[in-house]
Amino acid sequence: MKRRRFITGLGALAGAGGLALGSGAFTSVSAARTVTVDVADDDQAFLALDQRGSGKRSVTDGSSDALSFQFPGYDEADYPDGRETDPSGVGTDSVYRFGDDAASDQSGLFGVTNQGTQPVEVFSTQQTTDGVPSVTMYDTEDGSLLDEDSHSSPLGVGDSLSCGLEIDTHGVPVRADEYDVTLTITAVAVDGD
Amino acid sequence: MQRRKFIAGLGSLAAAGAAGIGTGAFTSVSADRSVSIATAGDANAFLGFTKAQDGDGNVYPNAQEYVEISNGQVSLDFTSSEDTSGSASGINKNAKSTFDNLFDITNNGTQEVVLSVKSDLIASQGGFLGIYAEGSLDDDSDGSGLSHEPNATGSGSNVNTEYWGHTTIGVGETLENIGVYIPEGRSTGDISGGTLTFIAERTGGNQD
Repeated sequence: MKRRRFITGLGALAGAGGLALGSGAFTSVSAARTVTVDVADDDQAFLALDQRGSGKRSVTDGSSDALSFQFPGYDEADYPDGRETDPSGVGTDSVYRFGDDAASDQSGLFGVTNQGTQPVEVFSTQQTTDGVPSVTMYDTEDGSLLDEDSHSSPLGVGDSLSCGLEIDTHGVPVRADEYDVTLTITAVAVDGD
Repeated sequence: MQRRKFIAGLGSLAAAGAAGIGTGAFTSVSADRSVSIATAGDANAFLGFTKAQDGDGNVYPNAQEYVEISNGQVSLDFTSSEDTSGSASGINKNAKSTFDNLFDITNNGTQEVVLSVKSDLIASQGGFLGIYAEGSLDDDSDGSGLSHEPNATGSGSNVNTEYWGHTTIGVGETLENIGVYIPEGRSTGDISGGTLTFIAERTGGNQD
Protein backbone atom coordinates (compact mmCIF):
# COMPACT_ATOMS: atom_id res chain seq x y z
CA MET A 1 0.00 0.00 0.00
CA LYS A 2 2.76 2.38 0.83
CA ARG A 3 4.44 1.86 -2.48
CA ARG A 4 1.23 2.40 -4.39
CA ARG A 5 0.80 5.74 -2.69
CA PHE A 6 4.30 6.74 -3.63
CA ILE A 7 3.76 5.86 -7.29
CA THR A 8 0.50 7.76 -7.42
CA GLY A 9 2.31 10.76 -6.07
CA LEU A 10 4.86 10.53 -8.84
CA GLY A 11 2.11 10.39 -11.39
CA ALA A 12 0.60 13.60 -10.15
CA LEU A 13 3.96 15.31 -10.46
CA ALA A 14 4.35 14.20 -14.06
CA GLY A 15 0.81 15.34 -14.67
CA ALA A 16 1.82 18.85 -13.75
CA GLY A 17 4.53 18.65 -16.38
CA GLY A 18 1.97 17.64 -18.98
CA LEU A 19 -0.10 20.65 -18.12
CA ALA A 20 2.78 23.00 -18.81
CA LEU A 21 3.46 21.46 -22.21
CA GLY A 22 -0.18 21.61 -23.14
CA SER A 23 -0.48 25.33 -22.49
CA GLY A 24 -1.57 26.75 -25.79
CA ALA A 25 -4.61 28.59 -24.55
CA PHE A 26 -3.64 30.12 -21.31
CA THR A 27 -0.61 31.91 -20.09
CA SER A 28 0.16 30.11 -16.96
CA VAL A 29 -1.20 27.61 -14.60
CA SER A 30 0.17 26.89 -11.28
CA ALA A 31 -1.19 23.66 -10.00
CA ALA A 32 -0.20 22.29 -6.69
CA ARG A 33 -0.11 18.55 -6.51
CA THR A 34 0.72 16.44 -3.58
CA VAL A 35 3.61 14.04 -3.56
CA THR A 36 3.45 11.47 -0.88
CA VAL A 37 6.71 9.95 0.12
CA ASP A 38 6.99 7.62 3.00
CA VAL A 39 10.29 7.41 4.77
CA ALA A 40 10.86 3.93 6.04
CA ASP A 41 13.18 2.53 8.63
CA ASP A 42 16.33 1.17 7.03
CA ASP A 43 15.24 -2.43 7.38
CA GLN A 44 11.94 -1.70 5.62
CA ALA A 45 13.16 0.58 2.83
CA PHE A 46 13.39 -0.15 -0.90
CA LEU A 47 17.06 -0.74 -0.27
CA ALA A 48 16.96 -2.41 3.10
CA LEU A 49 19.98 -2.02 5.35
CA ASP A 50 20.04 -4.17 8.43
CA GLN A 51 22.52 -4.57 11.24
CA ARG A 52 23.81 -7.99 12.13
CA GLY A 53 25.16 -9.68 15.20
CA SER A 54 25.69 -7.97 18.52
CA GLY A 55 28.43 -5.84 19.97
CA LYS A 56 27.08 -2.79 18.20
CA ARG A 57 29.69 -2.12 15.58
CA SER A 58 26.60 -1.66 13.46
CA VAL A 59 23.37 -0.35 14.93
CA THR A 60 20.08 0.93 13.63
CA ASP A 61 19.14 3.94 15.63
CA GLY A 62 17.34 7.24 15.47
CA SER A 63 14.16 8.43 13.82
CA SER A 64 13.50 6.88 11.43
CA ASP A 65 15.88 4.07 12.21
CA ALA A 66 19.06 4.52 10.20
CA LEU A 67 22.08 2.26 10.18
CA SER A 68 25.30 3.58 11.68
CA PHE A 69 28.66 2.10 12.54
CA GLN A 70 31.19 2.46 15.35
CA PHE A 71 34.64 1.00 15.66
CA PRO A 72 35.16 -0.28 18.29
CA GLY A 73 31.52 -1.19 18.86
CA TYR A 74 29.65 0.24 21.85
CA ASP A 75 29.81 -3.12 23.59
CA GLU A 76 33.12 -4.26 22.14
CA ALA A 77 34.61 -4.75 25.62
CA ASP A 78 31.94 -7.35 26.46
CA TYR A 79 33.08 -9.74 23.74
CA PRO A 80 33.97 -12.46 23.09
CA ASP A 81 32.30 -14.05 26.08
CA GLY A 82 34.83 -15.11 28.68
CA ARG A 83 37.82 -13.77 26.74
CA GLU A 84 36.86 -10.13 26.55
CA THR A 85 39.22 -7.75 24.81
CA ASP A 86 38.99 -4.00 24.97
CA PRO A 87 40.65 -2.37 21.99
CA SER A 88 40.74 1.43 21.96
CA GLY A 89 40.58 1.77 18.21
CA VAL A 90 42.20 0.98 14.92
CA GLY A 91 45.91 1.56 14.47
CA THR A 92 47.33 4.08 12.06
CA ASP A 93 48.85 3.18 8.67
CA SER A 94 46.76 0.04 8.58
CA VAL A 95 43.98 -1.56 6.60
CA TYR A 96 41.30 -3.12 8.76
CA ARG A 97 38.38 -5.20 7.65
CA PHE A 98 35.33 -5.68 9.83
CA GLY A 99 33.20 -8.45 8.41
CA ASP A 100 31.24 -9.31 11.54
CA ASP A 101 29.98 -7.69 14.64
CA ALA A 102 32.00 -8.18 17.84
CA ALA A 103 29.90 -11.24 18.54
CA SER A 104 28.01 -12.83 15.75
CA ASP A 105 26.65 -16.12 14.60
CA GLN A 106 25.58 -14.31 11.47
CA SER A 107 27.84 -13.64 8.54
CA GLY A 108 28.43 -10.01 7.70
CA LEU A 109 28.57 -6.76 9.61
CA PHE A 110 25.39 -5.61 7.89
CA GLY A 111 23.08 -6.81 5.19
CA VAL A 112 21.77 -5.09 2.07
CA THR A 113 18.50 -6.42 0.67
CA ASN A 114 16.90 -5.43 -2.61
CA GLN A 115 13.23 -4.80 -1.85
CA GLY A 116 12.60 -3.13 -5.19
CA THR A 117 11.42 -4.89 -8.31
CA GLN A 118 14.53 -5.04 -10.46
CA PRO A 119 18.11 -6.21 -9.96
CA VAL A 120 20.52 -3.61 -8.58
CA GLU A 121 24.24 -3.21 -8.14
CA VAL A 122 25.43 -1.97 -4.78
CA PHE A 123 28.53 0.00 -3.84
CA SER A 124 29.75 2.66 -1.45
CA THR A 125 31.45 6.03 -1.83
CA GLN A 126 32.89 8.54 0.56
CA GLN A 127 32.92 12.23 -0.20
CA THR A 128 36.20 13.10 1.38
CA THR A 129 39.00 10.81 2.53
CA ASP A 130 41.50 13.59 3.09
CA GLY A 131 43.11 13.13 6.48
CA VAL A 132 40.33 10.81 7.68
CA PRO A 133 39.98 7.05 7.51
CA SER A 134 38.91 5.80 4.12
CA VAL A 135 35.92 3.47 4.39
CA THR A 136 34.73 1.09 1.69
CA MET A 137 32.07 -1.62 1.66
CA TYR A 138 33.08 -5.14 0.73
CA ASP A 139 31.30 -8.38 0.00
CA THR A 140 32.06 -10.77 2.85
CA GLU A 141 31.35 -13.79 0.65
CA ASP A 142 34.18 -13.19 -1.79
CA GLY A 143 36.09 -10.32 -0.20
CA SER A 144 35.69 -7.99 -3.17
CA LEU A 145 35.64 -4.26 -2.51
CA LEU A 146 32.46 -2.51 -3.66
CA ASP A 147 33.28 1.00 -4.79
CA GLU A 148 32.42 3.38 -7.61
CA ASP A 149 34.60 1.48 -10.07
CA SER A 150 33.67 -1.99 -8.90
CA HIS A 151 30.01 -2.54 -8.08
CA SER A 152 28.59 -5.72 -6.61
CA SER A 153 27.30 -8.32 -9.01
CA PRO A 154 23.58 -7.75 -9.66
CA LEU A 155 21.51 -8.30 -6.56
CA GLY A 156 18.23 -9.96 -7.52
CA VAL A 157 14.86 -8.86 -6.21
CA GLY A 158 14.54 -10.00 -2.63
CA ASP A 159 18.18 -11.06 -2.46
CA SER A 160 20.57 -9.98 0.27
CA LEU A 161 24.24 -9.17 0.23
CA SER A 162 26.38 -9.77 3.27
CA CYS A 163 28.68 -6.77 3.72
CA GLY A 164 31.61 -5.62 5.78
CA LEU A 165 33.60 -2.39 5.96
CA GLU A 166 37.24 -1.91 5.09
CA ILE A 167 38.93 0.96 6.92
CA ASP A 168 42.21 2.31 5.62
CA THR A 169 44.11 4.52 8.06
CA HIS A 170 47.20 5.24 5.98
CA GLY A 171 48.24 8.82 6.66
CA VAL A 172 45.60 9.18 9.36
CA PRO A 173 47.09 10.33 12.66
CA VAL A 174 46.08 8.80 15.95
CA ARG A 175 43.98 11.27 17.91
CA ALA A 176 41.83 11.31 21.00
CA ASP A 177 38.59 12.22 19.22
CA GLU A 178 36.86 9.76 17.00
CA TYR A 179 36.77 10.31 13.26
CA ASP A 180 33.20 10.72 12.03
CA VAL A 181 32.85 10.03 8.33
CA THR A 182 29.84 9.61 6.10
CA LEU A 183 29.58 6.53 3.94
CA THR A 184 27.20 6.73 1.00
CA ILE A 185 25.67 3.37 0.12
CA THR A 186 24.24 3.37 -3.40
CA ALA A 187 22.13 0.87 -5.30
CA VAL A 188 21.63 1.35 -9.03
CA ALA A 189 19.30 -0.62 -11.27
CA VAL A 190 21.30 -2.85 -13.58
CA ASP A 191 19.79 -1.56 -16.83
CA GLY A 192 20.18 2.02 -15.66
CA ASP A 193 16.51 3.03 -16.12
CA MET B 1 -14.72 23.40 -19.85
CA GLN B 2 -14.04 20.95 -22.60
CA ARG B 3 -10.47 22.07 -22.77
CA ARG B 4 -10.04 21.68 -19.09
CA LYS B 5 -11.19 18.11 -19.37
CA PHE B 6 -8.71 17.56 -22.20
CA ILE B 7 -5.89 18.91 -20.13
CA ALA B 8 -6.93 16.73 -17.29
CA GLY B 9 -6.77 13.82 -19.70
CA LEU B 10 -3.23 14.71 -20.72
CA GLY B 11 -2.31 14.90 -17.12
CA SER B 12 -3.49 11.44 -16.37
CA LEU B 13 -1.81 10.07 -19.50
CA ALA B 14 1.50 11.45 -18.29
CA ALA B 15 0.76 10.02 -14.91
CA ALA B 16 0.38 6.59 -16.47
CA GLY B 17 3.73 7.01 -18.17
CA ALA B 18 5.35 8.00 -14.96
CA ALA B 19 3.81 5.04 -13.23
CA GLY B 20 5.28 2.84 -15.94
CA ILE B 21 8.76 4.10 -15.23
CA GLY B 22 8.03 3.89 -11.57
CA THR B 23 7.35 0.16 -11.68
CA GLY B 24 11.08 -0.25 -11.27
CA ALA B 25 10.19 0.84 -7.78
CA PHE B 26 13.56 2.41 -7.50
CA THR B 27 16.16 3.22 -10.08
CA SER B 28 18.79 4.18 -7.65
CA VAL B 29 19.09 4.78 -3.99
CA SER B 30 21.90 6.58 -2.29
CA ALA B 31 21.89 6.44 1.47
CA ASP B 32 24.32 8.37 3.66
CA ARG B 33 25.26 6.53 6.81
CA SER B 34 27.62 7.60 9.53
CA VAL B 35 30.72 5.71 10.50
CA SER B 36 32.52 6.60 13.69
CA ILE B 37 36.09 5.38 13.93
CA ALA B 38 38.30 5.61 16.95
CA THR B 39 42.04 5.48 16.42
CA ALA B 40 44.46 4.12 18.97
CA GLY B 41 48.18 3.98 19.45
CA ASP B 42 49.70 0.66 18.46
CA ALA B 43 49.63 -0.58 22.05
CA ASN B 44 45.85 -0.46 22.36
CA ALA B 45 44.65 -1.09 18.82
CA PHE B 46 42.66 -4.10 17.67
CA LEU B 47 46.01 -5.53 16.67
CA GLY B 48 48.30 -4.29 19.41
CA PHE B 49 52.06 -3.74 19.09
CA THR B 50 54.07 -3.25 22.26
CA LYS B 51 57.71 -3.39 23.28
CA ALA B 52 58.60 -6.93 24.31
CA GLN B 53 58.29 -7.54 28.05
CA ASP B 54 59.33 -10.36 30.31
CA GLY B 55 56.90 -12.15 32.62
CA ASP B 56 57.24 -9.42 35.23
CA GLY B 57 56.34 -6.65 32.85
CA ASN B 58 59.89 -5.38 32.40
CA VAL B 59 60.75 -4.23 28.92
CA TYR B 60 63.65 -6.26 27.53
CA PRO B 61 66.87 -4.35 26.84
CA ASN B 62 66.69 -5.02 23.11
CA ALA B 63 63.17 -3.62 23.01
CA GLN B 64 64.34 -0.60 24.94
CA GLU B 65 67.20 0.00 22.55
CA TYR B 66 65.85 -0.82 19.13
CA VAL B 67 62.09 -0.31 19.31
CA GLU B 68 60.84 3.23 18.92
CA ILE B 69 57.32 4.42 19.56
CA SER B 70 56.45 7.65 17.83
CA ASN B 71 52.92 9.07 17.63
CA GLY B 72 51.67 5.76 18.88
CA GLN B 73 53.38 3.88 16.08
CA VAL B 74 56.03 1.23 16.63
CA SER B 75 59.17 1.16 14.52
CA LEU B 76 62.53 -0.58 14.64
CA ASP B 77 65.73 1.38 14.62
CA PHE B 78 69.11 -0.35 14.36
CA THR B 79 71.05 2.80 13.74
CA SER B 80 72.65 4.81 16.48
CA SER B 81 70.06 4.79 19.23
CA GLU B 82 70.61 6.59 22.46
CA ASP B 83 68.01 5.00 24.68
CA THR B 84 70.60 3.04 26.62
CA SER B 85 74.22 3.59 27.43
CA GLY B 86 76.84 2.04 25.21
CA SER B 87 74.78 2.38 22.09
CA ALA B 88 76.30 1.02 18.94
CA SER B 89 75.93 2.80 15.67
CA GLY B 90 75.18 -0.08 13.36
CA ILE B 91 75.33 -3.73 12.48
CA ASN B 92 78.58 -5.70 12.24
CA LYS B 93 79.90 -6.58 8.82
CA ASN B 94 80.26 -10.26 7.96
CA ALA B 95 78.44 -11.47 11.01
CA LYS B 96 75.08 -12.87 11.81
CA SER B 97 73.26 -10.40 13.98
CA THR B 98 70.25 -11.54 15.97
CA PHE B 99 67.91 -9.24 17.84
CA ASP B 100 65.61 -11.18 20.13
CA ASN B 101 62.74 -9.87 22.21
CA LEU B 102 61.91 -6.74 20.28
CA PHE B 103 58.15 -6.48 20.39
CA ASP B 104 54.94 -8.32 21.17
CA ILE B 105 51.75 -8.46 19.12
CA THR B 106 48.41 -8.85 20.89
CA ASN B 107 45.12 -9.86 19.32
CA ASN B 108 42.58 -7.45 20.82
CA GLY B 109 39.93 -8.50 18.34
CA THR B 110 37.16 -11.00 18.84
CA GLN B 111 38.38 -13.78 16.58
CA GLU B 112 41.46 -15.94 16.31
CA VAL B 113 43.85 -14.61 13.68
CA VAL B 114 46.72 -15.93 11.62
CA LEU B 115 49.68 -13.54 11.59
CA SER B 116 52.34 -13.27 8.92
CA VAL B 117 54.66 -10.56 7.67
CA LYS B 118 55.05 -9.27 4.17
CA SER B 119 58.05 -7.13 3.33
CA ASP B 120 60.72 -6.53 0.74
CA LEU B 121 63.15 -6.62 3.64
CA ILE B 122 62.60 -10.30 4.42
CA ALA B 123 65.15 -12.68 2.95
CA SER B 124 62.62 -15.17 1.58
CA GLN B 125 60.88 -12.29 -0.18
CA GLY B 126 64.05 -10.91 -1.74
CA GLY B 127 65.42 -8.91 1.15
CA PHE B 128 68.09 -9.53 3.73
CA LEU B 129 66.58 -10.22 7.14
CA GLY B 130 64.64 -12.89 8.94
CA ILE B 131 61.76 -12.33 11.35
CA TYR B 132 60.50 -14.82 13.89
CA ALA B 133 58.57 -15.07 17.11
CA GLU B 134 59.07 -16.74 20.46
CA GLY B 135 62.56 -17.96 19.72
CA SER B 136 64.84 -18.67 22.64
CA LEU B 137 67.30 -15.96 23.45
CA ASP B 138 70.11 -15.83 20.92
CA ASP B 139 68.62 -18.68 18.96
CA ASP B 140 66.22 -18.09 16.12
CA SER B 141 66.25 -21.73 15.05
CA ASP B 142 63.22 -22.70 17.08
CA GLY B 143 61.23 -19.57 16.46
CA SER B 144 58.25 -19.53 14.15
CA GLY B 145 59.19 -17.77 10.97
CA LEU B 146 56.79 -15.02 10.02
CA SER B 147 57.38 -14.60 6.32
CA HIS B 148 54.29 -14.14 4.24
CA GLU B 149 55.63 -16.02 1.26
CA PRO B 150 53.49 -18.12 -1.05
CA ASN B 151 54.14 -21.82 -0.91
CA ALA B 152 56.45 -22.69 -3.77
CA THR B 153 54.30 -25.57 -4.99
CA GLY B 154 52.28 -25.13 -8.16
CA SER B 155 52.58 -22.46 -10.78
CA GLY B 156 50.47 -20.17 -12.92
CA SER B 157 46.79 -20.49 -12.10
CA ASN B 158 47.56 -23.58 -10.00
CA VAL B 159 49.85 -21.72 -7.64
CA ASN B 160 49.23 -22.76 -4.10
CA THR B 161 48.02 -19.73 -2.23
CA GLU B 162 48.79 -21.23 1.15
CA TYR B 163 51.41 -19.28 3.02
CA TRP B 164 54.06 -20.72 5.25
CA GLY B 165 55.71 -18.91 8.09
CA HIS B 166 52.64 -17.74 9.89
CA THR B 167 51.43 -18.24 13.40
CA THR B 168 48.06 -18.24 15.08
CA ILE B 169 47.13 -15.77 17.84
CA GLY B 170 44.02 -16.53 19.89
CA VAL B 171 41.65 -13.85 21.14
CA GLY B 172 43.35 -11.80 23.84
CA GLU B 173 46.59 -13.70 23.37
CA THR B 174 50.00 -12.20 22.73
CA LEU B 175 52.62 -13.39 20.30
CA GLU B 176 55.72 -12.70 22.30
CA ASN B 177 59.28 -11.77 21.65
CA ILE B 178 59.31 -11.10 17.97
CA GLY B 179 62.85 -10.70 16.80
CA VAL B 180 64.83 -10.23 13.62
CA TYR B 181 68.17 -11.49 12.43
CA ILE B 182 70.47 -10.60 9.61
CA PRO B 183 72.34 -13.60 8.22
CA GLU B 184 76.09 -13.58 7.74
CA GLY B 185 77.35 -12.78 4.30
CA ARG B 186 75.13 -9.83 3.57
CA SER B 187 77.01 -6.93 2.11
CA THR B 188 76.26 -3.53 3.49
CA GLY B 189 74.74 -2.65 0.15
CA ASP B 190 71.98 -5.19 0.77
CA ILE B 191 70.94 -3.58 3.97
CA SER B 192 68.51 -0.73 4.04
CA GLY B 193 65.43 0.43 5.84
CA GLY B 194 61.90 -0.27 4.78
CA THR B 195 58.47 -1.33 5.90
CA LEU B 196 57.26 -4.51 7.52
CA THR B 197 53.58 -5.19 6.85
CA PHE B 198 51.95 -7.38 9.49
CA ILE B 199 48.94 -9.26 8.22
CA ALA B 200 46.46 -10.69 10.69
CA GLU B 201 43.61 -12.61 9.11
CA ARG B 202 40.81 -14.40 10.82
CA THR B 203 41.45 -18.12 10.87
CA GLY B 204 40.23 -19.52 7.59
CA GLY B 205 40.75 -16.25 5.76
CA ASN B 206 39.17 -12.86 5.90
CA GLN B 207 35.97 -13.94 4.23
CA ASP B 208 33.19 -16.25 5.23
